[in-house]
Amino acid sequence: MNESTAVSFDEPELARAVEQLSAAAIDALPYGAIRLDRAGRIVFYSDAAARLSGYGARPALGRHFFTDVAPCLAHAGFRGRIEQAQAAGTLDIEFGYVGDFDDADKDVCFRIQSASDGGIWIFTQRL
Amino acid sequence: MIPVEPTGTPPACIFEYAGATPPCVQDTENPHKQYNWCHQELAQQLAQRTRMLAEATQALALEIRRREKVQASLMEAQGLESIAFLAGGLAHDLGNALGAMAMGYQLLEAQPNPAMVQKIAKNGRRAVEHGKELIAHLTDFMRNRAAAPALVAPDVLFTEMDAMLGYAAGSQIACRLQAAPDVWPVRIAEHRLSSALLNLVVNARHAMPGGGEVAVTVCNVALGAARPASVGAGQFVRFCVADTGCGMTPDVLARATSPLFSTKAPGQGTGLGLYMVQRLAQDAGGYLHIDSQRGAGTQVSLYLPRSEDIPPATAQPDGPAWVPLDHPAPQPQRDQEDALLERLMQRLRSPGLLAALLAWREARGSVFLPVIDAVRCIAPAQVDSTFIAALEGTEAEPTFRFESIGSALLEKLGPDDLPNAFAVSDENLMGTLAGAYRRAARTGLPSYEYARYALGDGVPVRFERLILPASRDGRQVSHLLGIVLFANLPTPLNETPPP
Repeated sequence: MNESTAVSFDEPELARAVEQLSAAAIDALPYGAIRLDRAGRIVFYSDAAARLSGYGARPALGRHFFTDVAPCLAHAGFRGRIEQAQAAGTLDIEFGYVGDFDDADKDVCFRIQSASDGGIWIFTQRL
Repeated sequence: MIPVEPTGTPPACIFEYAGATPPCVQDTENPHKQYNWCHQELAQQLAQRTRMLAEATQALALEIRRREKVQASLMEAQGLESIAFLAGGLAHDLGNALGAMAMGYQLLEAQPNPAMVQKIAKNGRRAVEHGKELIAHLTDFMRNRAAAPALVAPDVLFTEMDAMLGYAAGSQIACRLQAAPDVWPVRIAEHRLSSALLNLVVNARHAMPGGGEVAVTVCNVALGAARPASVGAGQFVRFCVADTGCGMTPDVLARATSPLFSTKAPGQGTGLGLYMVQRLAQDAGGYLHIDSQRGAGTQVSLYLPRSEDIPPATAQPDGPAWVPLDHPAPQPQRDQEDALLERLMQRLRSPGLLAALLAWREARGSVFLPVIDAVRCIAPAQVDSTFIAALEGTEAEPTFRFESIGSALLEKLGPDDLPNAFAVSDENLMGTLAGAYRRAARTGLPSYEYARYALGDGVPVRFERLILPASRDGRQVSHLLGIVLFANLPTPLNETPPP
């Protein structure tokens, strides 16, 4: 894939941009992309997501993502707001860590945005 | 028409420095809006850095005023001109640094090109860093370093410093270290002694521009009649740095330990080195002696009293405790740690966190972990957002107990979010609060997480959590100090503001 036309991880409307791509194009992105439907089931899991999940295999999914993975969002004040944002399609969250157990030289960054069909996209990048 | 970057490659994000993630980049229809938003945030960040510099300058001024004792001894030995010279030099250099920043602001206000903005911001930031270094150097000079004296074994110190002294000597100089067998221990702040030895080796290097030899030795001596009147008789440890360089003439030798006297070109060294080494010796109850002859090399001897202290027996806690992490850390591990710290410093978004991390690194020195009492108030401006937790239990089943929680944190997070104590199990993934604590406790290194969330129902918010491990003894993690910050972010201009 031509580097200069790939959708950048920093693209503000990342979810919208990725939704325009074919599955093959999404697999070729230099960051992982996972889509959950409204009910929280995985409906898409890109090749890069498998490689770059930052957790080795896939233990991150099947857990309650917001309470177990995202910093601070387990806080009670957020739960209701996240559900509402999800319902309204206005979710836009980014978080990351410096260094992780798997690889101390890499930083992990996540972006979560509402998908057009009411579900959510989770993008993962390791730098 | 405001010039924009050609489409295709997004411009490099200017917020590498400022640390926030802007919603700009591809909005080529409205470059004007993009620039205004970036400018505002950048100006804000630069203003914060300027405030830091101003606060540091104030701290220095306070320190100078308070240290009348130091000034009195300076005046007594050298006269007022030393202080005037010091102050004048400082004022001049700081003035340069601030002038560079002021120019940066002026240019930024008029700058339409985002790429130029990045360049200007980078230069401004370098000027700030330089200013901060100047201040750190001088505050160091003006006050006694905070580290408490401890028992130091010179032969162990030599083993640790072997590589570093070799680098300081450089590839043109043969550097030999030798500790006499059974050399006595001394009581001193270790990093002051290391700095002194480094200083002496660097001086030796400058005396031998064409190459030569420097021998760094330590041995036991008993001082009898041939000692200064101010030093009591008795057993001393003599550190000696001897070179085969050009030596000093008698009048250079007489002034060698005056503060600010230097034979080097302006800009190369401050002339404080030998003065500081002499201060170190005197503070420890010893003295400095220099033997030098023009053409025959120089021998600098640092005499420190033998310490009568017996090394404390290491107290074993009841039950299986946390395993002490390696001390001293081998160099490759240290390099990796330093690389992590550098990366961390670039990722931090709030300047207050950067100051805290720098202070933590400073307090850590050459040991593995800073001591908790030295870092309890590491970020006075963020004390309301700071918590301190004590580490208990065992490495397999650690628990954390909060000793203190800042008022802003208590307000923001309910009691359920910060229970009085909680256990941590391997089930906790890295992202959770417990996971972060566990990571910091296990590695002895800072842990940093951030999040930005825009939920469409209000102002976007940035969250950051920096956890700094500390110890009681410099070796095992016993406490975690955490700073947790929430900041409202400016709403991007192309979104409708909340009702």
